[in-house]
This record gives sequence, C-alpha cells and structure tokens, in this order.
Amino acid sequence: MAAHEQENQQGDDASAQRSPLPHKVVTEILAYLPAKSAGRFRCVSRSWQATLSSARFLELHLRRANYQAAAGRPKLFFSPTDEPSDDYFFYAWQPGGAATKLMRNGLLLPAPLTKPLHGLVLLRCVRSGGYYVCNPSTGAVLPLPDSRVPSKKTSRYPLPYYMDVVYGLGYCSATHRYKAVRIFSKEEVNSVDAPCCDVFVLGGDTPAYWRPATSKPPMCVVTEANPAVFLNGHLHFLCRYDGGILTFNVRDETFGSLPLPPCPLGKDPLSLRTTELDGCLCVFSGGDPCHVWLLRDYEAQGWEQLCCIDRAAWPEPQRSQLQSRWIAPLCLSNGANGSSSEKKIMFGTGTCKVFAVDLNGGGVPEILFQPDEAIAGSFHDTYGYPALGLFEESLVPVGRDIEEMVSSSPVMEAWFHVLKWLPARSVSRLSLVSRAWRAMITTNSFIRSHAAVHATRPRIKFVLDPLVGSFSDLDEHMNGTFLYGLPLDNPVQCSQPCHGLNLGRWSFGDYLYNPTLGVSERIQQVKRDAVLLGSSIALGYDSEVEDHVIVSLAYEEKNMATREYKLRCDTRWLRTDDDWCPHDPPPRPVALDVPPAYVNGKIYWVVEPMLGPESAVCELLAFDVINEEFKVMHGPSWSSHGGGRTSILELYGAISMAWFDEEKNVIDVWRTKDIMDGAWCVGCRIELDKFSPQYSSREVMLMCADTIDGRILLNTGRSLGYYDPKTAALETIYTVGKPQGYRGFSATTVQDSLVRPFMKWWW
Amino acid sequence: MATREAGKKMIMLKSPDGMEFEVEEAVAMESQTIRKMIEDDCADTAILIPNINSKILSRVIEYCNKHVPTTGATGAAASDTVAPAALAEDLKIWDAEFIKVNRATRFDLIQAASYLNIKGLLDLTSQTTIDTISDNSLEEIRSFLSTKNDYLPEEEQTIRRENQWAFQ
Repeated sequence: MAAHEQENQQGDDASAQRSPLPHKVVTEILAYLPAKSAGRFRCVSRSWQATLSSARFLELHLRRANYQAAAGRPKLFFSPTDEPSDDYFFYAWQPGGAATKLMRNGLLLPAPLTKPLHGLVLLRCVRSGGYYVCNPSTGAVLPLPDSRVPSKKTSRYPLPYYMDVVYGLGYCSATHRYKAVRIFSKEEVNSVDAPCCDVFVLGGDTPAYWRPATSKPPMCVVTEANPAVFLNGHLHFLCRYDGGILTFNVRDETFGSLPLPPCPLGKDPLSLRTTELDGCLCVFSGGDPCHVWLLRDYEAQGWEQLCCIDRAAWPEPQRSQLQSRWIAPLCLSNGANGSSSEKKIMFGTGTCKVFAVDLNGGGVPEILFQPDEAIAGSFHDTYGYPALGLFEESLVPVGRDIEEMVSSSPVMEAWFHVLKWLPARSVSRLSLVSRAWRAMITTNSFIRSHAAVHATRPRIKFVLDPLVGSFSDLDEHMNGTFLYGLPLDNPVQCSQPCHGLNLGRWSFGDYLYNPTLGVSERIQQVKRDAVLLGSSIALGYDSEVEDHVIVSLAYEEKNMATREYKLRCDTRWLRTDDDWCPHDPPPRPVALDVPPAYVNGKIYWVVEPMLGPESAVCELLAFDVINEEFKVMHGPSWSSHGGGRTSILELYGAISMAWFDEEKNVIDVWRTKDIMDGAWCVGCRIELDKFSPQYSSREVMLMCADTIDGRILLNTGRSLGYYDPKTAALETIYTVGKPQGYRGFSATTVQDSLVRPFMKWWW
Repeated sequence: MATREAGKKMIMLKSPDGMEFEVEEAVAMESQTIRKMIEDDCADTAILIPNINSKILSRVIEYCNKHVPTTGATGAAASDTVAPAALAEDLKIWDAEFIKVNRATRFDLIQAASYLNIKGLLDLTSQTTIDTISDNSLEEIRSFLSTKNDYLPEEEQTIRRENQWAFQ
C-alpha cells in the first residue's frame, strides 16, 4: 500500500516536471472556473485533491469565480415548486443569460433565507419545516439537527417552552468556523422561559449538537419569518414590538443592539424584513409601498432611505405579472447597457420572477426573468417565503452531519449499536455522558434503529390520563401499588404501536402518545363546515420520508336506505404538514365500529357493508402510506358466520382479522398468506367457554401477540390474559375483579421508543 | 481464486498485521461487506481487512463458520437429522460460550461486525455489551470512553428537565 502511494507521488512529480504549466499556474487558472468544473479536477490525483481542497484555493476560487457578480452581474439561484421528473434541482440565472441547471437537491420547496456566505446559504425547507446549510454549487446539504420540530417548542409544563424561533448562519474569522445560531423567544415571559440562544458549530470532527451560546440574549421577541443577516462579523436579528435589531457577535457570542431606521416603515410592523444589500444591512417593508433603507454607516448607525416602490402605482400588465406575497430586494445591478452609472435595484418575487427598478424606485418595473419561460416545472407563489437567492460559485464544504460522523468513527458506530438495545429510559439518561453522545442519540437513524429493535417486545401500560400523557406500568399494578383499579373510568380506544407511537380515541378527543416518554399530543380536528355523522382516525408510518401520517375519514352524508354516502378524507404528515390536507375520498365507505390498523406500510379499514356498492364478501380498504393510494381488498369469507363484531389488527407481523362469535363464545382469528390474492384462512380459534364469565367474546379485545411464545393477549377492560393457541390455556396476568359501576381500564400495548408525538406547530 | 475439495471456492482474508486466513467463500459471504466485494468482482486473490487484527479476525471467522447456513462445519448430514429448533438451540449455547470474552475484545468484535456488516454477530456482541453501561454511573462511562463532560452546568440542567421522565 505504502509503496503504491509512493509510486503515485513520483508519477505526479514526473508529470509536473514534464508539464509546460507548473502546478501553481494551473491552480490560478482553475480558480476562474465554476465550482462544478473546478471540483472535477479533484479526481485527477491525490495531490490535486489536496490542492483544490485547501483553504487557500477555496478562498482564491471564491474571489475569481465570482468576479462577474462583483462587477455588477449577479447570479441568482432557485428551485421550482414542482418538477415534471419529481427530481429536484437548483437552477442558476444571470441577467442576460439563460437558466442553467445546477445540482440535484432533493429538497421540497427550499427557501433561500440568507445571502451567500462564502457560497453557503441557509435554507428552510418550506414543506418539512427543517433548516439546512447548503452549497448550491456543489449540491452539498447539511441538515441542522432538531430543526423540524425543535424540542424547545414542544416541551410541556413544567418546562420552559417557546413559541418563536429564528435561525441565522455566521462565520467566525478567528476559528474559521461556520456557526448556525438560533434564538428562541416567547411573548409572555416568566422567569423560566426568558429567551435563549443556541449555537451549532459546523465542520467539527466529533458529532456536535446545539449548545447554549456563551452569553444570554436580552429580552426580545423574534419571528421565524425574519432570519438573521450576517454582516461585519455579527448576526442581525430583527425583533418585534419596537425591539430594534439584536446583534450577535459570532466570534465571542455576545449581544448588542442597533436602532431601526428613524421613521416608521409602513403601517404593519410585522411586515418589516431584513436583508443585506450593497454590503450594508437593509431593512425594508414587505407590504405596499415597499420602503428600502440601508445602514450606510454601520459605526455611526446612519440609516439612509434608498428607495420606495409602490406596486399599486404600476401599470398593467406588470402589476399583475409581479403579484406575489413575497417581494424583496436582491442586489444592485448595472443598467441595461451594462453601465455602472445607471445602477438599478433588483427584486425577486415569490413566483420566482426578477424585476429591476431605478434606484429612485420610480418608473415602470423591467421584468428581467420569468422562470416558466426558461425551464420546465411550475412556480407557485411561496406563502411569504423567499423563492430566489443570490448565488456564489464556491467549493466550501458544509461539513458532515451527525450520522456521517457516527458512521465514519468505528468507536462511535460501535456505541450506536450497543445503545440501541437499551430501553428508552436508559438511553435518555446517557444523553448526559457528552454532547457527542447526545448528538448521536437524537439522530433520526438512531431513533429509527432503536424503535426497530424494540418493536418485537410489546409491553403493557395503563392510560391514566391521555390529556397530560400520564401512563403507568402494568408491573406497578401487579405489585399492588394501585389497589383500587384505575381512576380513568372513560376508556380510551388505543391503537397498536406504530413506529413507537400510539393513537388513542377518547370521548374528549384524539391523542397521539408515546407512553414510554410519558408524552401525548392532542390531534386538532379537521376544520369542516358540514355536520359530521361519525369519523374514523388512523395512524401510519411513511418510511420514505420518515414521518408518521394520520388519516381522518368522516361521513358528511350517509343514508342506509339508499346506500348513498359522502365520505371526506384528510391526511396530515406529523412533522411535515402545518395542517390537515384534503385527500381524494376512498373508493368505499368504512365501518366506524371497527378501529383501523396499521400493518407493514398500509392502513386497513373494514368496508361498511350497509353503504355503497353491495358486495357478497367482506371487503377491506387499504391505504398505502407511501403512494398515498387507496385499494379495495378481499377480507375473509364471513358467510359461514353471518354478521357480528369483527376487529382488524397486526399479529405476528402480519394483518389478521378477528371474528367474535357471541353465541358460541369463540373468537376466530383469520390470517392471509398474501393480502393481494385475498385468500384467508382461520389461523386459530380461541374457545372462551372454559374461561367464562371472566372472558367472553362479547367483551374481549385482542391486543397483540407475544412474538417469542406466540401467545395472544386478551383484554376485557377488567382482566388481561395471555391465550396460548397451542395449548388452549389462558393465563390471567392482571384483573381488577368486578367493581361496581367500573367501566373498564384502558390498557395499551407499548413499544419502547424515543419517538416524539409532536406535530409541526402552526404559529 | 483457489479451489479446494469438491469445488468449494476459497477466499483469502488478510489482516493488517500480515496474517492470512483461507476461508470458504460461503463463510466469508456471511459478511455483507465481503459479499458485496465478491459480487462486484473487487476481490482478487486476497482481501485486506483493514482495522481488524488477526486475533479478532480469527474469532469473526470462527463465528461465520458456525453460522453459515447449509452443511457447514457440522457435516452434510446434520441439517437432515437434527430438527431446526434443536439446531437453533445448539447455536444459542454456542453463541453464549463464544461471547464469554473480556470487555475490550467484545468491543473490538462489535467494531469488526459493524465494519464487515455481519448482522448476527453485531446483534450478539452489542446486545451483550449493554450491561457494561447500564450498571455504570455517567462518570464511569466517561472514564471508560476517556471523554470529558463537556456540558455547561446550566445545559446539563436543561437536558435533565427535558428528559425528566427518565430521571424520575
């Protein structure tokens, strides 16, 4: 190996001597190339790889490759809202040029929030809510941890929690490190939840996580819509309620402040925005008219009004063509004939259009770019998010994410595999070992692996109060800690666990919960105009986007006599969607008395036999979570039974259906080898006569199967017992006896997991 | 590639300390990493396994020899006469014996299993290591990892509050 390397080295030296151009000269030339082309030269040899990755070259390249932008011909980048190929790319455009395709980004609706910092841009993925540091020239993307649904925004009493968060990206010239910074704030402040500031340093060697900044921010209220602007070594956060501009020194992490421009900018203070323009801090009002102010003299805090544009005064067709909910100044550019004396100010809109106006803001806007004319793909108006950003050619790396750092360190990776076997409680305690461990434990891949390992060992807990997420262990009851049964006399209908979470239906609402963490989240109801005639709600897991989905089916009309009905369907991806999204209704009505079940990527409902097209056999409705498609499937042939209670659930990793025969006091558990071909058979028959009246097919619910011994857990609301299909024996593991007026406990199967039930919040 | 007895393909594995191990291809392919190399035709005469010394590598091969499906080391007739359940029970006992090694060796085995992508061995070694940490205090774990507590006191308080359920 060593000899091989040496040979290579000599080879390089030899060719360098033969080469008419010395290494250094070639480097100087390469620095003029776009990042993509220059980056390709890294593959030539190891020494080129080293040279072209050196800090010196990165800096030289930044200066040289962007000389046109510096000379008043800025380059912009953007990404379509929808691409025909379902593959997402960044595109770049320069005045007077055509749009060119950059790298694939794989992000849905990435909004560029900042001006490029050595080519790096802070993005927010509007669809998922997550934040990313991205180099659009190389396509490298670093997801910021805990940014989709930050834990500080979902913590509950008695913790401090925050309503607002804002992000920024800065650079520390002393350490040559990029820092992502975020501030959390809340309007009503008490002593525990004063604003706080987190720092995440990019590009380290060990897995890093957010840590508190060295000093605390003063009282302020930030808004997510106003990401920080990096300038002069400071991040600038625009605060609400006359808070002015909060500054954060990226190097020593101290706070300061700057005043706002002297006179009020528009009526709505919420519409104020900040950006960087012409090397200065810029404040503008996003509404109409749009005033643009520049902090020309940073030291003396001297503001200057650059221009004011009034869109209402524009003539048609420009006025309607440039209609958008987002408008922002992008940069100053040279006039049409390239002369720098006629400077213009370039604006972008949420529909990805670019226009220029004279510096005084007057005249007719000149539309420079309309993306739908340049590339295939659609461009809807972003809901107030930036649609375009300035682009800089850059080879600066974004740094590795935690998961990459873990997998590149054999020791970390070994611990990853050890820790996933531990119960969630121990894992959470061990997050105190070090920041690196905490970083590893909070990654999606760890939470996923942990949930997968613990999926096969269901445990039982009792629901005490779904409202506050209060659960108790079955063991505690068996030890006699709770002598008088359970306080909850209004039973919760609990789903089987689905990737670490359960769904509970209670008379006071629907909840998502993780009994291991002891947390629950109330599911907001779908906003509907019509009066509802009953609804069904189901939980599934989309392994492709690593998110849970809830599906709500509700009847707006139903008529058993005519078999006519109107069923409404809404879906919501927990950490992706702000709210419920309407979905095409399923091809069949669903039976509301049979709770749905999630098994291996699909949610199943039993079709309501009294509505819609008549069918001789029992039908199932399946929703494929990844494709978002409903399908009708054949269920078991119940004809031999004729009517009665049924249930649908996951047993032994596959879909099963149970039939509760009250007359004979038996339960038939049906299973299928292949759900697609619809051939079902009775897998086992549970005869309850021997165990009556404690267990009767009228009351029993099937909970789950123990994957190790194959026993099925039965729940009557007063007793829990394991039934062994092989021996027909039933072992009661817990019973409350027959208390008067007791309506039954709520037992739930639990998967030990760290998955949090919180949804993306919409304030 | 070397071939020996009844057309069984043999593979040479080399550890960085210069030891060579000749193993059946089927045994080597218990490792998904090696399987991929063989399937992609990246494996010539010998495969160098970096970062895994000969002592650990020989133990890994021992494990793969035992766990390779079909006939394997127990002889051709074994799978016909012995019931699968008994075979599984036998393997369990063998595994329990195999894993009786000191903590450092076990940790090396985890890293090897992780690199070579041998799921069975990875699960066995990592699962039996949890007692190493679950019984120890944070300080003990830190000294075992030779890491320092890099939390600020206030930061630690926040994490404790955020995970209150785990510290009750």
